[in-house]
Amino acid sequence: MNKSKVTSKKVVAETKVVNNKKSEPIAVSEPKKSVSKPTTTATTTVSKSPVSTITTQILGKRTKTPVVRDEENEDEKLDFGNIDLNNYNSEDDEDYESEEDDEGDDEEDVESQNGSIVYSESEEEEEGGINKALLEAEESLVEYQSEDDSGSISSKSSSSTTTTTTTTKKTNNDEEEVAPNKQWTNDPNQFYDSDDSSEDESLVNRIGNIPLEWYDDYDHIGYDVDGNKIMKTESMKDSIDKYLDQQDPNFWRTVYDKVNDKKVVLSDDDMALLKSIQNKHFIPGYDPYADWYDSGNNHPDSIHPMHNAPVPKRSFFPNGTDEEREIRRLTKAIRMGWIKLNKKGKKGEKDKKDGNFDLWADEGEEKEKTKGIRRIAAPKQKLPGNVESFNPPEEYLLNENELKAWHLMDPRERPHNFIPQKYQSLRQLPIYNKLIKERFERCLDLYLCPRTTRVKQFTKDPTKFLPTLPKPQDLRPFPSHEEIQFLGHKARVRSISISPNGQWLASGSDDCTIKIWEVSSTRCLYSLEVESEVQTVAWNPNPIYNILAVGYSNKIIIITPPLFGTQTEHSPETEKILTKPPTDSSTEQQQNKSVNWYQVTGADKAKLLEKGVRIEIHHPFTVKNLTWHYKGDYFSTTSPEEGTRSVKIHHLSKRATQSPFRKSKTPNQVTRFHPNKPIFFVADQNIIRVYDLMKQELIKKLITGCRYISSIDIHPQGDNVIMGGYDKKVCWFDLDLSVRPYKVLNYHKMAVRKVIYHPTLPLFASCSDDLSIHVFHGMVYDDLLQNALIVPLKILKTHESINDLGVLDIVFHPKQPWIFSSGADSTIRLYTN
Amino acid sequence: MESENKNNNKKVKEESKVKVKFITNDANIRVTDTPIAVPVRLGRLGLSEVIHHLREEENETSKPFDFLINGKFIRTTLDKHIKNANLSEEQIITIEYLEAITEPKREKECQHDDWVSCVDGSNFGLVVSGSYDLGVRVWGYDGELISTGTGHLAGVKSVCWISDKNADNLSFVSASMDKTLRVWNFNKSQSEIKALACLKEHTGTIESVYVSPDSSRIVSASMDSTIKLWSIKDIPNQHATTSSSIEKSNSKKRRLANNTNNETAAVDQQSEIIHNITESLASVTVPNSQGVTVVNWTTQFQMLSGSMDSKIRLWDVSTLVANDTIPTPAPLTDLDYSMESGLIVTAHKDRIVRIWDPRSSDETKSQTQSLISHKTWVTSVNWNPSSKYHCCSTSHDGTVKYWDIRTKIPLYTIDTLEKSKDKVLSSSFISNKNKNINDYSIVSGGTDSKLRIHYNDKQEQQQ
Repeated sequence: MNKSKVTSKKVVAETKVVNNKKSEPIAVSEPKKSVSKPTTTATTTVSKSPVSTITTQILGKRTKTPVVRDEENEDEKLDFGNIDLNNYNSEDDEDYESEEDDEGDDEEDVESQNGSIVYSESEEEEEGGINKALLEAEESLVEYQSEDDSGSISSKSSSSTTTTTTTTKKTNNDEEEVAPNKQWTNDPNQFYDSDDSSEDESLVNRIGNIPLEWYDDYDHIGYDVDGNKIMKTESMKDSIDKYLDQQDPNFWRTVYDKVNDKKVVLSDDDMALLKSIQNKHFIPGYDPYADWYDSGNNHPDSIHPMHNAPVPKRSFFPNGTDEEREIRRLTKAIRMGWIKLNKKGKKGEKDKKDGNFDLWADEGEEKEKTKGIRRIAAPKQKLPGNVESFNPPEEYLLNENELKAWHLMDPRERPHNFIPQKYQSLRQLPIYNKLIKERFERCLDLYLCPRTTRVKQFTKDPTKFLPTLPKPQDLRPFPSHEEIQFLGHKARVRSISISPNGQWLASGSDDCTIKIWEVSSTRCLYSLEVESEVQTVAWNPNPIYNILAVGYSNKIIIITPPLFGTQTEHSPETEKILTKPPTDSSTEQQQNKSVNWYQVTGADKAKLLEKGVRIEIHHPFTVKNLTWHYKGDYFSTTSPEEGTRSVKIHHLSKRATQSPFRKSKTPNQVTRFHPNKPIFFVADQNIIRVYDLMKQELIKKLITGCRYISSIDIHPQGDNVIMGGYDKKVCWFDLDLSVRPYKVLNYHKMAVRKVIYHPTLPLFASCSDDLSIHVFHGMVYDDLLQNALIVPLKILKTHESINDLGVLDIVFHPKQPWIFSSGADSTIRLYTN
Repeated sequence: MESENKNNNKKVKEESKVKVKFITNDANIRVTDTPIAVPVRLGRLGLSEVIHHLREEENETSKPFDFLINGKFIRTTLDKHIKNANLSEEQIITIEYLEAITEPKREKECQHDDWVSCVDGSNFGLVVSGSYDLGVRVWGYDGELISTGTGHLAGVKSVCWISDKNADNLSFVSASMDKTLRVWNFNKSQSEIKALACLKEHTGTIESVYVSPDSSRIVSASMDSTIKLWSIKDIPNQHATTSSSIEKSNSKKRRLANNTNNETAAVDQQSEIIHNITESLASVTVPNSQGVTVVNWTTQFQMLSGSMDSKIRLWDVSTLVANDTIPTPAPLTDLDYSMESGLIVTAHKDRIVRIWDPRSSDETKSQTQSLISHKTWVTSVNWNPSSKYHCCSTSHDGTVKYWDIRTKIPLYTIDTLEKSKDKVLSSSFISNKNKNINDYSIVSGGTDSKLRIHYNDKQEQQQ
């Protein structure tokens, strides 16, 4: 392999010389020299004879050539090396492919010539003339250039090398390894004259570089391009044929070429050559004793030049130094696009070449290219610094003040979690007692902390995030506009309540009056003045009773409003529930001593009696809230000022009071009864507690996340709860779903005063100090799998603000999609659909 | 067609005349029925002038007319109306004209002690009103208080005359929030009101009462979702006349009894004179009605009811079964049936007055007209007893509107309440003996505690 390469290089080198020659002045190409040319070749051995200056010059050149050639070889080798180092990209190789092929062919030609030259030496001396030589030299120039490139690549190209090897093999077989080279290298012209012989070479089969012994047992030696067998001819001959062959006078000089499967008759020259080799002579035509001529340039150390003649211009080597040439070559290659600069690859190469391998370099950049989760590498621990040293520098040691300060500091604020101390030697260093704990925490950190980056999904259309809700128009009926007002109160109306049949509306106001209005005519039918501001009014939800409960200051009064006329009898049920049970005549079995029930009787209370006031219940503290059980026999009150025992449950027919809850951290605000089960909801400031009254146990705690609950309401089906808070929040709880809000509605700008469900329609509403009443569609499905549908429907905003108070109470009509609201502007308004 | 119309319009503008024929039902104002070419740019007033011009020899004082083409009022100019109605100018257009109904210029105020909740003027020349001051009052046509009856314990919600052949001895029924109905006798000669009977069975406030056309039965509707029928024949009529003085003293006694809260004694004493009828002839509970607000009779065999659940029900009187149910968009407050046209007019809590035809089988088509002009709840509606087309409505917005159901715009609006916040709760027509369409007056009562009788000068002259 190497040899073949070298030979090819030699060819190259030689042609280069020719090239150089060609660049010489015309004098060289004068016809005279056509004569001298063959002589030179012929007289290489007779070089001692005197020659003309020109010829000497030429001779000098000639003789110089081996040296130059060596240089060239070296250059080429350097080229090899450099290019190997540069390690062209595969793309570049591709660029070269085509060229390589061509070059391969060329080389083949050249090298087949190598072989053939040996046999056709006689032809060399033909009258080719220097002109022809020059012409061919021009061709060779082209060849050279391509050769040069190919030289740089040939090490890679396998196709070309295989052919060369075959040729070399051939030469091996012929046992003419060196001699022919020497022969023709001395005279480049031969090389071109032997063109004809190349035609013979076309016969060379291309079985490839395959050991021929594989085919020993076959009658063929391989396959041609078309896949047909290449038959052996010689070896198949039988002994008679072989004997007959012996009759050939040239038999003794016939050699069998295994590869090409043909017989070659060695020429006389071949024989001479063989003979000379056998006799250990030099190859004919090679002068081993040629004069050594030193041009003088080879010795830069020499002080004196070998001759005084100025260096001729032609000897100027335009290519300059190797380095410059290399740079030029590379720049050209880059400009032509043969080399593509790929920084990364080169960098990697360089890094590898540096030899210093950064063990930790990749750790930080370790990016998983999986598209799903992007992991963040765990943070590295800080490397120990001077402080951690067993012998820290003085400035790191703490003096007394610093020590005190260190102790006073919050552990999290300390710069490091140990006191630096100085030891004489490392072996005096005591064991670090926090080691295991720190390692453990580190391990915890490494495997417990989820380190993934959340990839934000950007969508172009932000409306896509909105849930698809039905249009409000499709969810009619719902209250949409103010229809009528109930005027008459002189101060803010704190509380309103509607009778179970929707005919009457009760209101309690800060002007210390309780009024009852006829809804259909807005007529005020009843008005009762009491001692202080009315906190709460509540109709008994059972339609068979006509009972109104009113809470003001620390009293609750039970009224049977004389709506049917003062003398009209009330329904027997009403009377029955209000008559005093006989048992509690003297010793009242009241569980709660702080609450007292009084029957309103006597002449002094005649006025109250006429107004329908039947029972007074005295509490120790102000009653803020009152709510009825759906059956109308129980009601519950809260008086937050009382603190822990603020919730009381009153039994109307038995006239008894209980305070079932003893412990409560924050004062209870609101209570509600479940609409059809013995379940009781108690809301303190933050938490809604759900109690089972039968089992007397806590069922659930609803965590509202609200700072101050103002109001709660239970869905008529009992599985959903809404809550309004003074911190503007409205939360919807699905009791089956979670103890946390299913939906949090942050629509109000000020404190939410009241939230209510519609008793029959899928509506709920909230009112706030920002004067608005928000009406929502709140559909609860029987299907447990389907979550409630909440759609904001309407904002009703007609109340006026007085002292930053807005809408104080709202109530839905029991059947119609109407909502009543009372406000700080002392009006009650009705909104209808 | 459209292009043709446009061409026609152009022609109309060029020629600007169309041949019309005037017809009328009123013989007094009849003009020649030969077709006349009139300019199409004329509106109502222009056409009125034409009529005046045609009637000039009769020397009539100028009075505006209203014009109808195919039962539609001309409210714009003639050409626009023709265009909208897709009529052809080529043919002779028949225009019906009638005297324009003008707003009653005059009114009389009859002061009550409290809100006037109901009024009925269907008995000739006499108006009965009920008030939240617990009294029922009978007023003369001229607004003079004839008599006051007391006895109800809560506000009176509804009153109705019981037509009787005997013009001197009239009776009426009142319904109250105290869950009772009272039948009263009004002796015209003595100018006295006497309570005849007290009908107690309802458990809720009674919202409406109406007397059957043959004056044999009373129907009452209550918020307790029941409709009850009572027989008038059970109430002895002559009884009251004989013992009127006793009744009076008894009422006084009853008042005393009230003060002493001795109800039983009062009832005992009362029962001697006033018939306490505690059992109705028939009763029916209207399911899911949320309270029946109004009842009415169509014929003596069929009743109408309107309730808070927004449904009009037609009842067969003999079986008390709801034959037909007409769903409406809003709760009803009042309805009235026109004997003349067979249509029902209803008042709703969604500001709209609607006209229904109960005879059409398709429920969706039974609504024939919706009249939208009131600003808030409509409280009462009444057909003009002498007209097929005219009705009036009252509303919480304090107005009385007079409608011709052929046009969607009210003919006029009576808006005479001083305070804008006052509401009109009830109204009624005071019918006259001569059935002239324009010869009527409207009586209305509201939260200003006044009964207002609206009438024109002409009627006063006639009186």
